[in-house]
Amino acid sequence: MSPLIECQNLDKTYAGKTALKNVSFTCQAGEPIALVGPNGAGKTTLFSILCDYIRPTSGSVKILGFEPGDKALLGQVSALPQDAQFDPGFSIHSQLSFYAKLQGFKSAPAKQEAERVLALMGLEDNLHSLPNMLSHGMRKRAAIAQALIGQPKLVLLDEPTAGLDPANAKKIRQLISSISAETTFIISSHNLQELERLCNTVLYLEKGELQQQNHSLEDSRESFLTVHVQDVPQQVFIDEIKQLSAVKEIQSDQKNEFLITYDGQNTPDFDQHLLKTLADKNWPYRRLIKGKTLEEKLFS
Amino acid sequence: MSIQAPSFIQSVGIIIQQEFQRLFFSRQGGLYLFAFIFFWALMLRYVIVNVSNFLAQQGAQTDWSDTVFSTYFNISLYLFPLLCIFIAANQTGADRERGTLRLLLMRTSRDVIFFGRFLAQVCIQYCLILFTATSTLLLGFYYQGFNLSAVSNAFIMASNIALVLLPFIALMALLSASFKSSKQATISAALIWSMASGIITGISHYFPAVEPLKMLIPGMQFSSLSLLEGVEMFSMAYIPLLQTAALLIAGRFIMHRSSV
Repeated sequence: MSPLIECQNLDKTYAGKTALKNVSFTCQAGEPIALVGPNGAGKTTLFSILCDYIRPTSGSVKILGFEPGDKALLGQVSALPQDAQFDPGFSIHSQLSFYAKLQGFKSAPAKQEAERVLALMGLEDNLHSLPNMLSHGMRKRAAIAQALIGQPKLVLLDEPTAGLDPANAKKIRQLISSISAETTFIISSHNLQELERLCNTVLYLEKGELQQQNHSLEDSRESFLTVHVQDVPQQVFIDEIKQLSAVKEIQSDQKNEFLITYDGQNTPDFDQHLLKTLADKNWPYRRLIKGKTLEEKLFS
Repeated sequence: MSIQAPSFIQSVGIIIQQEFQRLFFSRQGGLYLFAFIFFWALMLRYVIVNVSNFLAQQGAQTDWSDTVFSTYFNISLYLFPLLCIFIAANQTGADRERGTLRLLLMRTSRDVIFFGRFLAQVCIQYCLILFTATSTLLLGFYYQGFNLSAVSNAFIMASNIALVLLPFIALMALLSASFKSSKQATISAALIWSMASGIITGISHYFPAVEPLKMLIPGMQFSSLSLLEGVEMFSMAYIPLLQTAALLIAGRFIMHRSSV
């Protein structure tokens, strides 16, 4: 079976300026994949190449064994492109029905499919609204809805929750999680906490180069714990935890959040020791993460 | 979910259907239709009716339909290409600017979008030609009585207008694929058309051998075409057909190479 995405030595230059440089990676279908990087790192360029909006200067890309733009991929790959807007002349239901027809739905099923995906995004009461009558968040949800028409195998989402209120952002995360068994999502976002909740694989781009391709499950999770405690003086916490025999190092870059490095081979149940210490000291904790946070993995 | 992807022709049909919906059911399309019908009503009232009345007063012995449709042809020959430069300028440009083209490309090919939008414009313009020819014919019948040769004249004139319009729509398809807005496409069409005709006319004045190059420019055969009558008019049909083919090939090439 072909990998979901296979990029080899991908280069893209715009008027002499390098946007992507020798990017190679392979992704399999499955859990959502995060695409991370600072502004101007080449994330949107990579998305655009995968969607066949632009052509690479050199290198090759295969999605499900086909080149982007191949007829076999129509309706199989979908996207929420950055800043793409709907046609202002038609209601969102009419436009999504039109897209569904282009994907092969007959007239009545196309309307039903448009209703289904808009309802998934909580827009069932706005089916016949023109795009300009919707709020920014609603338009964003409608744009995500169009990407879900026909249950594609791969959906590329560029900043899916940017500009959404927390309740709707949560709904979208839940939706992505609920359908990720059938559809693989590639999500570009600056919200690392969001990506951490959704994705197991991270592609990290910087200055057009792929710096890391992390598979979270493969890293040395047993050696790190990230704990977020509540109102415990930093030095007191560090001094106390350091006394636990398995602890090698403890760092704190953010208030109340500590990264503990420990000997995981000899003390695989260190998390239980830590929890016991917290309970004994009556220190409430808000979060305990096995391993490093995504932010720590990428930027430390 | 097993869904059969539509064929090229089916997809083009879906695009054409959508463009007709835009014309008949959107505010912009409604305004355009209203403006066109209003303009054509004025044409009928003050040009076609006057010609018809003039003929009736003169007690002309010639076939009224020859004069009426000759007037119709000369108006339409310039009206439709001019309208086309404005109306057909937005085949893909606005979609590219808005990013809607990106949403479309996820479910259909660049060829379907390019040829679908071109054919949609052809169908829309042909509906308008049919409307103008039929309304002229009915008005002629009302004032002058039924005449079978008028039907034949209407068919020949409308068909020739339809033929000469093709390269203009194709030119706008090409320019729309090249620019991000209909305004840019319209301005470019006016510039390209006037500069190309000016340059070729200028050069051919000194070097008559380049005179045939005029045939590369849509509409340059209009003056010759006006001199022909009846089915003879179809003898020049190859010019707009070849121009259309060349412009569509160039437009498709641009559409495939352009970023969206």
